Amino acid sequence: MASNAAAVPFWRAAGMTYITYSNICANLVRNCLKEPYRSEAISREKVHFSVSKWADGKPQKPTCLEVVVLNCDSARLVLGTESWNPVVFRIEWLTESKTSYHHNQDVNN
Amino acid sequence: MLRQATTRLLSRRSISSSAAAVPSRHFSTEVPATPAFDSSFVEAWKKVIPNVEPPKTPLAFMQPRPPTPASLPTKLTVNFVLPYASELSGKEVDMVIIPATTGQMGILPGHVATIAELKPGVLSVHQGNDVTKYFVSSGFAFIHANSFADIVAVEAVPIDQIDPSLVQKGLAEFTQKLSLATTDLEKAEAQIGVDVHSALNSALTG
Repeated sequence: MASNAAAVPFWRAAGMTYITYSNICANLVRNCLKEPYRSEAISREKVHFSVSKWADGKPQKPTCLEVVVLNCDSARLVLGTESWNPVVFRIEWLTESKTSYHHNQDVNN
Repeated sequence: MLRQATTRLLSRRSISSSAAAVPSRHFSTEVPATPAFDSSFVEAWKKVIPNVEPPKTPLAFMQPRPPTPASLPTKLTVNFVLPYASELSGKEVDMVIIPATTGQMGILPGHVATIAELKPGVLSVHQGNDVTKYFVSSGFAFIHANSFADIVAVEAVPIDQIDPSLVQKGLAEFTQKLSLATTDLEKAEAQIGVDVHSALNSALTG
C-alpha cells in the first residue's frame, strides 16, 4: 500500500485548514479590486456581532457592536486582550438591520 | 423478529448482490440512471416476508444519478456559483478551462468525471468565438459523467475589475513579509499572499 507520507500542501503543513486558506485567498483578491467593486465586495463580506458579557448569571448590557471583516484572526484582535472565555461572553450574530438599534461604538477593522 | 429478518437477508445477499448488481462499466456504451430501489433486496424480502411491504431504502429517497449518454454530447453545461450569487446557471458552452492545482485543465463535453481543487487563477468559458474570463480565488470543480460541470468558487471577478497597482503593491508587500517571516504560520500566510498576487499579475498580463 502507499506510504503514510502524503504530499500535504504547505499551508496544511503549517497548521492552517482549507477554509482558512480559502478565506485568506478570497480576502486578498477582494483587496485588489478597482474602486466601486472593492468597497461593494468588502461591505458584502462584513459580519456584525453584538457581544455581551455575563456576570453573576445575568447578561450585562451589550458592549460594542462590532462590524468586522473576518480576516485571519481579526475577531480575536477586536476582542482584545480580555480572556476569550466562551462561558463569560454571549455573541450574537446580527443581520444588517439590527445594528441601527444600538447606539454603541462601531469598531471597524 | 422483523429486524432479524433484515439482518439475515442482508448477510446472505450482500456478497452475491454486490458482485452481480454493479455492472462492469468498462465496455458498456450507455450507462443507465441509477435505480430507485435495490431489486435484489426487494426480491429477497418478498420471498421471506411476502405479506409486508419492503421498507424504503435510502436509494428510494435520493434523486437518481442521471444517465450517461452513449454518444458524446456536443455541449458542456456549466453551473458556476459563488456564495453570494450564481454567475452561470445551466449555461451550454463548448469548453471551460479551469485553474486546477495540477495546472490549467481544459474541460470539453464528454470529459471523464473529475473533482478538481482550484488554485487562484483564471477560469475561461469558451462559447463559439466568445471567451469570458474570471479570476477565481479558490474553490472546486466537479465534472460529472454526463457533461455537466459544477464550479464553486469563493470569490470570482472579471479580469477588468482588478487594479494592477494594488496587485503590484501587494506582491511587493508579501515578498517582503516572506523574507521577514519567522513562524511557520507567518511563512504560510506570506507564501499564500505571494502566490495569489503572482496569479493576479499573470492574469492581468497573460
